[in-house]
Amino acid sequence: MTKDKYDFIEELLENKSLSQSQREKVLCLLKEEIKKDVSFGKKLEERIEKLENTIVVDNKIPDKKNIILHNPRFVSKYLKKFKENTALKWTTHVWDEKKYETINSFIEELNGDKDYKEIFNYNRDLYNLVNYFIYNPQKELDQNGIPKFGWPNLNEIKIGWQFPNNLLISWCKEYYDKLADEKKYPFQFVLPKEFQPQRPVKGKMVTTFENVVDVFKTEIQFRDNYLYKEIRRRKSKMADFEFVGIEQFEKLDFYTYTNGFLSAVDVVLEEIKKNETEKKILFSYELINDELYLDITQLNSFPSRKIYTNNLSQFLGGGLSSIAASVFSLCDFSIISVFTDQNNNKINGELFITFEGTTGSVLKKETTIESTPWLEKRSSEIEGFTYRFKFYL
Amino acid sequence: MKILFLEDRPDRQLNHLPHKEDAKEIESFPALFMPKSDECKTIFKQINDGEYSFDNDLKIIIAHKSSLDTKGLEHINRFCKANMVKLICFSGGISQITYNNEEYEFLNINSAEFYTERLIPFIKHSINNNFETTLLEIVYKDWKLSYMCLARQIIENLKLETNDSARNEFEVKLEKINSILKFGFTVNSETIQELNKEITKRILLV
Repeated sequence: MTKDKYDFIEELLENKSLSQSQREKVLCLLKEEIKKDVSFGKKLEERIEKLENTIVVDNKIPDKKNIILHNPRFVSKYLKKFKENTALKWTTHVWDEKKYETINSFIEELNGDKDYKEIFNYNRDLYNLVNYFIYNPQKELDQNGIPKFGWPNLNEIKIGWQFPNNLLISWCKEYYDKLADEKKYPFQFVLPKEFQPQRPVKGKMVTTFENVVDVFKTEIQFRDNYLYKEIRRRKSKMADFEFVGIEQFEKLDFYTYTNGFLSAVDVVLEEIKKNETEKKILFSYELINDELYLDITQLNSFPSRKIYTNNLSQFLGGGLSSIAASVFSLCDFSIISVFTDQNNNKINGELFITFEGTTGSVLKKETTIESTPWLEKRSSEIEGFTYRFKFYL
Repeated sequence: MKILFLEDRPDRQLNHLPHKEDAKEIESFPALFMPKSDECKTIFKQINDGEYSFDNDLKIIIAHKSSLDTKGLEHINRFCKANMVKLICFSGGISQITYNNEEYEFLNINSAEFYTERLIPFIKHSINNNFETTLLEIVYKDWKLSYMCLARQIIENLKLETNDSARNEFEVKLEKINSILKFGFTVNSETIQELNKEITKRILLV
């Protein structure tokens, strides 16, 4: 028997690797197909009901453990501890300015700080990264004692201060604790061959623990023109678009989970590419008190999709939801544009998508925003479609 | 005051500088102001609050980067850009040297690489040459030669590299080196012979 498109959709929905939002997208497309289909009959109705049930079964209500809260102020405050005079600072700074008697005295001080546990409630990727780099992620090891999985998003790095098997600590006991004159410092630890990534990570080979630390530092802070370089890299892949204002980012340093923000930038640029006629992208930022407003604007681009003022969530497509999920608890996210409401009225406004009090849920690796956005009218002139990220410094 | 030197950890300075008397010598330059611990911390706070008024005669600001937050760095950047003041940021947390001379001269450097035997000669040289000296003198004994050799290496890498993103990185670096070297020709694969001549001249000069 030959397969029809509905068989294909059925197979697609049965595929376990499909995420919740992908499944929802397939269902939306299915609805469009049905509208076109003249052979809509009882049999097809039954099949659709079956497919919808597939979604409902999978769409479990997340348990309490999987609810996360949007708390960018806490995350920012925590990350700044890496520059304050805390034990955390000495996980990323060379030890020539601070002396610990033994490696254990350092680790004890480090383990005394439990604030990182709270990040679990705000951003899982960042929590997993900090836990891996500093504490004990309890990841499964293979028969040779090598973790099966590495850092979130940097799977090739499989080592931290205490994991796996106190590898670095054992070395420090030998070369830092015991030696008096020719003491070796933790950053000098040469990674065993099997822990050295085969390819460069962020453009550099990782062979010592100092290299590992350097990678970690770029994961928790935009520093030494890292943000500028990353935007410039993306610019080189979008040669037909004009990136305006990126040079000012060259000296912008701030703490955040950089991978989360850069993932959001990638989705923003994908969204921008959908409007091929407006090629100018304006990058800008402004510091107001302790807040950093970072805007990416596609000039002269305005949404064609209507905004339903009585159901603002409907405006959030896959792209916007994905951006909001990537920067959950890293910064507030909003969009500014001239919207068209259900009565064809033009509204100059800012749609706040994540803000204080927003909740989300985590299912597998996917974060879904649970709260409803809100719209605020603006009287100022609007130049296009702006993606606004508000960081708390 | 021509040089403002903000170091809030004098112990670190003493540890890094090659000679015990170096810190005293730095303090002794009349054109240089290095506030003591509490005053230094107050200045950092004022900078971070965006409230510090810099001396209009300043030519160079040297600051411990970890004591500056995002806002403080922005406050200094604005002043340096508007007044063409050179800026050196040092910190134990900086893992690679960043140098930029586009809007104003800016050097980001690790504390250990900053506090070397080149620091005092650099200060002296700057003062004696009306602050025309490049900040790169802190980093390299012969910065021009170092950049020329780096340019040659990048040109060779570009010949082999096929990855677009990596090529782009190399090209941007080469462009930056051109803006630093300021030769009468653009350094690229077509002018490598001229570059080699410049390198030879420089080596013979040294």
